[in-house]
Amino acid sequence: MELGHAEVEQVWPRGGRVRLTGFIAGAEAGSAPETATLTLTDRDHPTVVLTCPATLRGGRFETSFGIDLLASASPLEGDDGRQVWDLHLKVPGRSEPLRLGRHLDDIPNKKKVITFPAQTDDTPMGPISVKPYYTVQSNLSLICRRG
Amino acid sequence: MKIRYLLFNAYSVGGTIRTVINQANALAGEHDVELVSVFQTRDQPRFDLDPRVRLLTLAGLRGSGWRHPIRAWLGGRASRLVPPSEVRYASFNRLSDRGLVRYLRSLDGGVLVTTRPALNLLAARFASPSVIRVAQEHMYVRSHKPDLIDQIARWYPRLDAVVTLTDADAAEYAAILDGARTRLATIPNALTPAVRTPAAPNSKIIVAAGRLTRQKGFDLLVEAFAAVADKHPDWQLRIYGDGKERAKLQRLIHRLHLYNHVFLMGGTTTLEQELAKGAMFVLSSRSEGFGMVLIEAMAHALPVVSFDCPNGPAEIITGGRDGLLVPPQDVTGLTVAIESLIADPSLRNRLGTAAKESVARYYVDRIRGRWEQLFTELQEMKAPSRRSSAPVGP
Repeated sequence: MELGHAEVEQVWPRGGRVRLTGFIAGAEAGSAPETATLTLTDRDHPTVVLTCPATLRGGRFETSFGIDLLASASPLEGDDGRQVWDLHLKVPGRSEPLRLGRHLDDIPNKKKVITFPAQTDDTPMGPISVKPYYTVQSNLSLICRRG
Repeated sequence: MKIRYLLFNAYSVGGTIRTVINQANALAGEHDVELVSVFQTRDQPRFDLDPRVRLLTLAGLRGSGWRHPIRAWLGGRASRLVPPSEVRYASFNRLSDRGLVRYLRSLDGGVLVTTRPALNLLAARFASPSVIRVAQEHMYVRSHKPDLIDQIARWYPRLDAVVTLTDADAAEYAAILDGARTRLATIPNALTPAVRTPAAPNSKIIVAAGRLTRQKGFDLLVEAFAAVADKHPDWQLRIYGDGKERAKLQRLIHRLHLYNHVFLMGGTTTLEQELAKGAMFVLSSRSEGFGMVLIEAMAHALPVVSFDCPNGPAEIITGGRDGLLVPPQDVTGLTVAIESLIADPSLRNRLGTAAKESVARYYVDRIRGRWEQLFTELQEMKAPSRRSSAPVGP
């Protein structure tokens, strides 16, 4: 488990969007609503970062993005049509972004046990499929395939 | 009393092997117990065997074939004695035929317990009537192919007893063995001794367990839970086990958007610990041989919901008292039963407490007593017939 992380409770890959809810591990509840930022970082090209707004209320976060967001990042040279995106949450008052993951329950082997369906979309840049998944370290990432 | 258990392969893993080794261990203290394995696939059995139980193998094929050419030749030839309708037909061979017939003919007196149809049939044909021959049914008679049931009807009447796991199955056997003198008895499997932590009534976790096959009906359970998750999104369903339907069930979970609520947990060697995390247990099988996992769950004081499928659940659960029974494959009924337990913590508590008391009848001491009583009664039935054939004095 990372020191400070954004604990994912629910992942909803549905209707062309991915909605995420959870809470900031160790955060104090009861603070006023704030705006945070979800970042999606291309694992093979960490300078390629996509963002979308997230709401933060009482230590809980919620965010949602359309899968066409991922189509907007044009594939870089060397890609084989398959991109992995690691998800972080940038929270006001914290210098380091928090990795999204699911660490606080007793379910082992999440990569195999908690799986999500892929969603497909025909974008102006061609068809893509997007699928959230838990890594072997129980962090949340997305796998995106083109073509 | 001399008691021998004849097993297909004491060195493998599986419900029958586990149950039979438990029985042998339970009787080892008071009796002279022997565990006879037709085949041997490793050095030691996978389950702990009481050191007082003698272990022997009839048709060991281990070692190189060229050193034992006759053995290897016989081992490669199809059995002439086991009917092809036996599920394990292809595993038997001429070597096991020879070993089994020699062994069965060598016996005199005592008890012989055989544990699958091929072995029951051979005991009926080749063991001396001086031996008390007891056949165990570890599934249920209707699980066998019609040709095998014909063989059962022909040969089992020679046996002293057929022991089923449920009364429902004993009634089926009574119809098939119509008119035979063979004693029919029901003796369920015993609860394996284990440390059992009480369930977690406030955990909001529903537990199910079994191999992921169509027979276990997890597809029906996932469908039933879809309606539950709509109303009670804070509850989750955990299904323990692996099997060939895993990918299919995973797709169903995805299609019904239950990926945040239903988890295929995979196989576990610590089911006791996982059961203890649950607030209720659900059995959704289309059929069961017995439903041992229900008893294991109830021993944790878990309230249980079960389809009233053949065979077992209706004999384990008294509906409304120590669990809830739902008509077989009634998905809506299953939803309603699960929701009634979610809505009523006091009902969960009441059913769970009653369940724990109710399954005391499956504790190993009680079940051992039933086996001993059966063997003793069969021995007494045999003794007078022997005496009557002896010359009568003036």
